[in-house]
Amino acid sequence: MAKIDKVLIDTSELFPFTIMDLLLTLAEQFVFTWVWTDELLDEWERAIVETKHRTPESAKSVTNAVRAYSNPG
Amino acid sequence: MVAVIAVSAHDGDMTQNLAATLDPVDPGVRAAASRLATSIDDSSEVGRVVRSLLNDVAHGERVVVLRIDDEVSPAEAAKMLGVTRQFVDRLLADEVLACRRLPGSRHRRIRVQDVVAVGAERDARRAGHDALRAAIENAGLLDEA
Repeated sequence: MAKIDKVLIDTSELFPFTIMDLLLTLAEQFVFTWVWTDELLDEWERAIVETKHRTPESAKSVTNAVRAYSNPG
Repeated sequence: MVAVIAVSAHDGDMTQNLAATLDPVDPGVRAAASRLATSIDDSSEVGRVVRSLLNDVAHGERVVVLRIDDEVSPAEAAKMLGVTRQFVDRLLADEVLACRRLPGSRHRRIRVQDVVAVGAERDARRAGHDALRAAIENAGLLDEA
């Protein structure tokens, strides 16, 4: 089987969180490393504030957690 | 640099291979470790590590001390990481872990340094991912679809 090296996290993975939870678990088992871009995280923050009516701070707390330890794409 | 890895007493090829002369099943070994532990100056980090190691032996734990540039077999690496041998085989196949072949042999050897690094990376990923899961939950974004 071909090895998957990196998985790019698109905005639809962070919410709903079900798929992301699975991706995190696979990354913990060294199946792959997941990566993100600033553009995607910014877009996700805007979408969560507009459609889910969360505060910008609340959205930011999630993307901060992403940026804190994972890898920019 | 020295890696100190305690392996519990109930099983283990690695422990038998590397620590056969210091078996804490022997009451004399446990008593000697206990005496030494109490006399260790633990005002430094080194003293605390050595005392903790001796206390483990005193309580019947088999303890293995490995130099960071020592090499282990895939089975021993699996024991150090607390995973199956099959998991280590996949890490080797995916080149998450590096190994070398012993000359003229199919046997593989992995540097202790690399095993410790993979263990630390796994811990870091788990901690980071748990922080993200907590952030999602605190933002009220966990269950709602």
